Amino acid sequence: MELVIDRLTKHFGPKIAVDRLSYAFSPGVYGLLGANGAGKTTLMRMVCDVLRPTSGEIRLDGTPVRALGERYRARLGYLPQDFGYYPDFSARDFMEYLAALKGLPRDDARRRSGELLELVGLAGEKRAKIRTFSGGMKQRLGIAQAVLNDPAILVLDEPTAGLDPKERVRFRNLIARLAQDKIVLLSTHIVSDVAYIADEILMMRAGSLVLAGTPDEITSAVAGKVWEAQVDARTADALSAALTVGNVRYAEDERAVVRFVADSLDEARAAAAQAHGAADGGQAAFSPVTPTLEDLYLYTFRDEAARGAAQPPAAGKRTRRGGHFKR
Amino acid sequence: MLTLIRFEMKKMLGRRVALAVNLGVIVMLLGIMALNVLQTNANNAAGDLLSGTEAIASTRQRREAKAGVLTVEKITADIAAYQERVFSQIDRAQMAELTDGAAYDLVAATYGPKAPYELCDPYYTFLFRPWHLSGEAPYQTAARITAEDAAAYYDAVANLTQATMDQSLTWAYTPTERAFWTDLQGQVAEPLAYGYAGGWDNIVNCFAFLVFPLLAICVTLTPVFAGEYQDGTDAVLLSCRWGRGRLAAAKILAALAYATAYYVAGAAIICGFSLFFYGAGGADLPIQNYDLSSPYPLTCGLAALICLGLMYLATLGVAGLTLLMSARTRSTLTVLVADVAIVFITGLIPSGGNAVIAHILSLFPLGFPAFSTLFSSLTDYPLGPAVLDLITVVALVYALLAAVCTPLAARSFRRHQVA
Repeated sequence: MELVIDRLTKHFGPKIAVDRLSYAFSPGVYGLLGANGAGKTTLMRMVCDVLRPTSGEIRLDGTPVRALGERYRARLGYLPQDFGYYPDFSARDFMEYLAALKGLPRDDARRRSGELLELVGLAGEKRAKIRTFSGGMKQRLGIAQAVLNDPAILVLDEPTAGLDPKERVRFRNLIARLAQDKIVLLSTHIVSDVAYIADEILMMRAGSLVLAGTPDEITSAVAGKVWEAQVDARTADALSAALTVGNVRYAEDERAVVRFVADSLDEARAAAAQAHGAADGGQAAFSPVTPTLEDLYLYTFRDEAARGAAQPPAAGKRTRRGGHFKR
Repeated sequence: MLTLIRFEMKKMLGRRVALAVNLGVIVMLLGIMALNVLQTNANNAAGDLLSGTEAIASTRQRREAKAGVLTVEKITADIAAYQERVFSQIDRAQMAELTDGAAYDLVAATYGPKAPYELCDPYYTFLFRPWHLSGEAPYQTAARITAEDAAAYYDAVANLTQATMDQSLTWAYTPTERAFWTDLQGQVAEPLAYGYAGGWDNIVNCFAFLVFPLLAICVTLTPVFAGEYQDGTDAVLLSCRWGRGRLAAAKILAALAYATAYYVAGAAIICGFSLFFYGAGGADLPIQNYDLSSPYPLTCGLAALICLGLMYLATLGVAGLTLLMSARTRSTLTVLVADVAIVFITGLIPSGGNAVIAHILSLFPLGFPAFSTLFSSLTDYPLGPAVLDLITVVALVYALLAAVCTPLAARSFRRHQVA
C-alpha cells in the first residue's frame, strides 16, 4: 500500500496553506511536526478528503483518491483536531452511529464498538452521555471511532492536545498499539509525543516540508549545533534573550545550565561577553551535547519570526518544494 | 440507511431547544384549539348569547333546520315567505330607506325584541348574499329583492364573481383573467345545497395556526447541517465512507419524515378538535355555504383538504429552504432569523394597496391561509396566455421550493469543504 501526495497545494485566498507538497507514505507511523499555521491540519484535511486541494493530487496505490471516493474513505480513519461530539449521545450510540457511517453491518458495528470501547477504557461508560466525559475520555472515544473500520490509513490531528501527561502517555501507547500495518499520520506540536512512536518525522513550515526522515536521521542534522553552557544566572538570561534556548536549569548555587541550538558558538560567546564584559563572558563553559528531536525542532523553527529567511539543515532527508520523497 | 435515519432523527430531536419548542408548540396548539371551542359565540333565535359547545350546537341546529337543496322554486318560495313575514306589518319601501339602526328598531318595535335575531337566521344571510350591501340585516336586503330577482337567483350568484372583479380597486382583470374566473364559477353545480359543515369550516378557519408547527420544524431543522459545521463534527462525518453520499440523503429523509410527522400531529389537533366539537357532517356540501361569492366548485371537505395540503406543501417548501440555508452556512442563528422573517415578518408587512406586493405577500405562509384569500378573493397570476389561481401558485411555489432546495441542500453538504 502506498499513499502518494503529489505536488499538493492549497490556497485560501492569497494565503498559501500548503505549497506543492509531495511525499510517499507506506505503512508506518509518521509524525508531522510544525508550528501553528505551518499547514499540518490543512494537509491532513486534504488527505482525509474533507478539503479539496487547489492543485495536485493524492493517490492510493496509483489511483487518485477523488476517483476512489467512498472506496478511499472506507479505508480511512480520522480524528480531527477539536473534533465535536454529540453531547446527548451515549458513547455506544456515538460509536454505532459512526460505524453505520463507515458502512459496518449492524452486528459488526455493535461487536466492534464494544471491543474498542473496552480497548480505550470506556466500556464502563458506554451508556453515559458524552457531555459527562472529560477531555481525555473524549479523545479516547475519538481514537476509538477513528479505528472502527480498521482503517488502512489513520490520520490523527493533534490527538494529545489538551491531555494531561498521564493521558498523553496512555494515548501514545494506544496509538502505537492500533498502528500496526497502517499508514498513521500523526500531527502534533508536542515533540516528545512523536519522538516515542513515530517511525518517521515530517517537519512542515509555511506549507512546505522542510525535513523528513527517521528520528535518528533527522536529529543527526543538528549534531554539533546543540550546546550546554554552565553560566551564572545573569549570563543565562542574556543567552536566553540572544539564542534559541531549549532549556534553562537553575542550580542552588545561582549557576545555571543553558541548553541551546546554534550554528556556532560565536553568537553565544558574544552574548555572554555582553552580559559580563569580554573576559568574564569568554570564560563561560560551553560543551556540545547529543541532539534530540526537540533540539531539531527548535533549530528548524528558530527563525520562525523571519520565516523564509533561514535555510533548513543540510543533513537528513532534506526536502525541496515539489520534491518527491520515499521512505 | 435506516440506522443513519434513526440516528439523524435522534440528533435532531435530542437537542433541548428542539425538544422544548416541539413540545411547547403542541401544547400551545392544544390550548389555541381549546380556546377556539370555548370562545365560540352565537345568538340563538331568541337572541340569547351562547358560548362554547352551546353556541356550536345552536348554530348547528339553526343551519340543519334549513338544510336542503336550493332549487329556484325553493329559493323563490323561501324569499317570498320571508318577505311576507317581515313586510306584513312593515312598509317595504320604508324599510329600504332606513338606516341599519332604525331598521333594527322598527323590526323590534313591530315584532318584539327577539324578532331581529329570528329574522337574522344564517340561512337568510346566506340566501340574500347576492343582493346584500355591507352592514345590512337580512330584513333590509329583503326589501329590495323582487320576484324576478329571486327567480334569477343563480344568475345573481354568478354576478357576484363579476362584481368582485369589477369592484377591485387595485387589480385590473384582463379579459383572459375574467374568462378564467367566469369559467370556474360556471362549474359550480346548481342547485346548491345548504346545510351545516361547522367542523370543516373550522378547519379552514384554523389551518393558519399550522404556521406554529412550521416554525417549530424550522427550529428543529436549522442545525441539521449547520450544526455539524458549527460543532466541528463535519470533518469526521465527511471523511467516513457514506459521509458524502448516504449521510446527506439520510439527513434529508429524516428531516422530511420528522417534518411530515410533526405537521400531521399539528393538523390532527386542529382537525380533531374541529370535527369532534363542531361535527364531521357536511363534508359534501359546496363551499358556497361559507361564502356564496366563491367561484370554486368544491365541497367543504375538499376545501379543508386543500387548505391542509397547501400548508403541508408550505411546510415542505420552507423545510427544504431551511435545509438549504443550513447546508450553506455555519450559523444556525442566521438560518433561524431568515426563517422567522419568511414565516412571520412577511405576514406583518402591509401591501399599502399595491396589488403586486399584495400578490407576492399572498404567497407567504401567513399570506394565504384564509378562506377569503384562497377561495373568494379571485387572486390570480397571469402568465402569458395562462392564468393561475392563488391555490395553484402557492402549491407550485412550495412544491418547487421543496423540489429544488432539498436536493441542493444534499449537494451542498456533499461538497462541503472543512476549512
